[in-house]
Amino acid sequence: MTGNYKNKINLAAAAVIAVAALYSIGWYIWSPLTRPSIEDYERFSSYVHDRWQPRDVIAVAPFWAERLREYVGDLEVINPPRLADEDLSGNSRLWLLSVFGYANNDNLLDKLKNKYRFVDEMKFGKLALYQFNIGASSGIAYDFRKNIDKAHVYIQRSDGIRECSSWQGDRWQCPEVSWQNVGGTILDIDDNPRKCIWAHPITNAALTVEFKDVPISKKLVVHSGLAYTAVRMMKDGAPVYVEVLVGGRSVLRVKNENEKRWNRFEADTSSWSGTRQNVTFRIMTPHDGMRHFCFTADTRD
Amino acid sequence: MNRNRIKKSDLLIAASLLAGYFAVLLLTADGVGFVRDEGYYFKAAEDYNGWFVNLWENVKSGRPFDSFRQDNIDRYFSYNHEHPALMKELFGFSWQIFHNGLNIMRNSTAFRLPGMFFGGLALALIYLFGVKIRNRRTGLFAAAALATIPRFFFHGHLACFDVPITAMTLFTVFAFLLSEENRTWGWLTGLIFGLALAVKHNAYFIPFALILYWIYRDWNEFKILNEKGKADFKIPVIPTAFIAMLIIGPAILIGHWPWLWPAVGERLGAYFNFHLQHEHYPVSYFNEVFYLPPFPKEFVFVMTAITVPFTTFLVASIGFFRGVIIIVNGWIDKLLKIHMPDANPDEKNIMFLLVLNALYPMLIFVLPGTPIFGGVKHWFPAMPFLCLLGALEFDTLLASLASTLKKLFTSKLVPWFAGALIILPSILGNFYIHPYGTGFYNEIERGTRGAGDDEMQRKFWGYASRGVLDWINKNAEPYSRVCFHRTNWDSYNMYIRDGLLRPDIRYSGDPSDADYLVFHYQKAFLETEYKAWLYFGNEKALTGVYIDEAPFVQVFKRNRR
Repeated sequence: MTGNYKNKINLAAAAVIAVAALYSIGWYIWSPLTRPSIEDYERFSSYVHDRWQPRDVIAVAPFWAERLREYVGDLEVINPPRLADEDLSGNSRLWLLSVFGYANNDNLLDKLKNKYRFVDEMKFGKLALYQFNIGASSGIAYDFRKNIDKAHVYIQRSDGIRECSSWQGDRWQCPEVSWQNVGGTILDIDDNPRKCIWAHPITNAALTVEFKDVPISKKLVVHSGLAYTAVRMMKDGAPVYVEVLVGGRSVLRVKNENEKRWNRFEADTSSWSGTRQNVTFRIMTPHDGMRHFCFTADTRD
Repeated sequence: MNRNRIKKSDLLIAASLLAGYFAVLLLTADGVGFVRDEGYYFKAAEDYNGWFVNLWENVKSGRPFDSFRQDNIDRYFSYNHEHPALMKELFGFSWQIFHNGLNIMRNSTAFRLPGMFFGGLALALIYLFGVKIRNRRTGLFAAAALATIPRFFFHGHLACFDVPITAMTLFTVFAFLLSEENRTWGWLTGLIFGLALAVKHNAYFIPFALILYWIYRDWNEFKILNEKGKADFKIPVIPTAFIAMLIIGPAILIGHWPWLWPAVGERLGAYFNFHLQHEHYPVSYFNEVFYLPPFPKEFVFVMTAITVPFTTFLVASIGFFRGVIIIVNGWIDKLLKIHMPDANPDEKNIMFLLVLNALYPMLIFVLPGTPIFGGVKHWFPAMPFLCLLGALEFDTLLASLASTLKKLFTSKLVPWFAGALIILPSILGNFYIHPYGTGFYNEIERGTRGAGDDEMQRKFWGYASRGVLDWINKNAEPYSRVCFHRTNWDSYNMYIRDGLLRPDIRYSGDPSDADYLVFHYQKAFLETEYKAWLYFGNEKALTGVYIDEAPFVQVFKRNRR
């Protein structure tokens, strides 16, 4: 290598390092300037609280900016990493808090505008708040998760039935082992805190959850999935099947694969609409190793 | 061989670096919470110190041998015997002197002093190393680069082993380098290596690296066949340092650790087995949590690239690749007997030593079964060598620029300005993240924002409770039960002993029986937060620690029962 050529390479390396240094210094100066203040949060909180309605939901972008729980944690907060893909059909309005301008990342705002009716945009210092109308949902007629204390839970095997009749404050406990119970919980499914009914299936049995006298609407919507830890730690984990019966007739039979996913299933119940029926959920798996399964369901128009 | 002589003034500068860094660490330690391992080591340090106190009392009462009975040794040394005792003994001595004796500092600060000393020692050594192989500028740049790596700075505060083993690895390699000129250093290498073994098990890899270096250095003196093609096995003179390491190293390991004495073979076996079958802890990495092997092979390199300040990483990387070119040049020289231009055999040898020591601590984590929890701290021993490679590169570039841009280099301040330009982002990085150094991600990852987007692990070890203790002290009702989540009982206990937490606050292991949850944001433990929402009947955080809005901890409170 000639000395001249070597010097040119050295000069180029030095220039790259100098540019990198200037970029880095600039980044550390710029970064704090973009942070919202406590006053920004207080103004945002006051604005939202004043206008909050039942069935509203508030989300934040980026999903990890959890400081908003200090200000609106008393409201219905969600923070899914993929907000535009979320099923919000049970809600009437969406508020989106944008920190550091994240609402514009990955075209989130455009995706939401395509999906819902954009209503308004407000600024609170370095925070931006967007409001959307979700649609003409008439809301949920019956939420099975909220009525889990009224359910009849049992394990159905080929040799008979074992009742899970011990109500322990928040769950129906089955007789054999502690994880065999059915009750309300929150699990990390699909990178979201999912409020759902814990229903760990059992090999060669049907975990059965029955609700009596349920008001039926046009649709019965089921959301279900496996906890993140179960999917990650049991890479060859078995699928979980759910069968739903209305008035003793099967209306839905679906499969939940061992994947990071919050599945949405829907059954047409319009032929029973306006009546009250017994609704039964049967949860099954060929192998119950770490099947941390959870579901939620509702009837709606 | 023509290496620089270390002058008295260099020793003075090295001592100043040691003292200065020690002082900075001491002055910035207050906000650094107690990591889980510190909780265990605080307790172990008190136990081990108890044995020395007991020995002294037995000596005074004429029964010194009572201290060496197995039941007595086990009474004091059984706890936390999965790591050698040296650091915990030093933590204990420091606590005995500065807290119990002089009563001039908190328990925890006294325990932490030896760790801070080793942080300073690492700087002193890296400076001297730089002076030895190039010049003062190299030494100073390397010291500044190492000192300001935010994760290194964070760990430098702790009563843990990661910074001490980094210093001792550097010390052993440096001593070996000095032994090439002075045989006394050969024996000292054995002593220093023994102390390294007594600090942490990373030291077992040092001899392999030094043997590889020796083979590279003396390649032409190894012979299997003679010139006539007949078998004629010859090896060069085995360095005194190797013999010393073989004899003195194990002697210090066994000698410093009373727990081994009653059954050396059996207990050493238990110690090795613990580390060979170490459990795995979950690690968040690019939107996934890794619980068990196989782990991503690139993990170690990617994590280094995004957690070492960008400019330091850049200059070290260029230095690393220049080093590789020089080594290849050296192999061509040794194997093909083609003497390349600029061939300086010693420079090639030193480059090999630096590149090897910068690389092997990382390569261990490429192996499929090596636990990757803890991230960067487990390959800290690579950092001084990366910084030295960066410092050599810095010096090379400055020399080159000085010859091409003569007008610019008329002022002696130019090299200082250039050095400051590269180091300043690292200093700013420390201001950005301190005292939550495990969450440091550099400007390429966009700090904690990028780490949040990619669900990278921002914290572990439960130390960030420290950031909300003042709030708890002020707001929690008397005798509240607080679930501190990842903060263990020993750390909680130390917060109370040191007056950092109200003594009436009770420790709870689970949100189900707690009034408050101090939730430590880790993807693998999210369900503790969700559990609290259920038990507490609300999802409202009351306070928290955030950097660029990314949460480190949040506090939740149970609705009135």
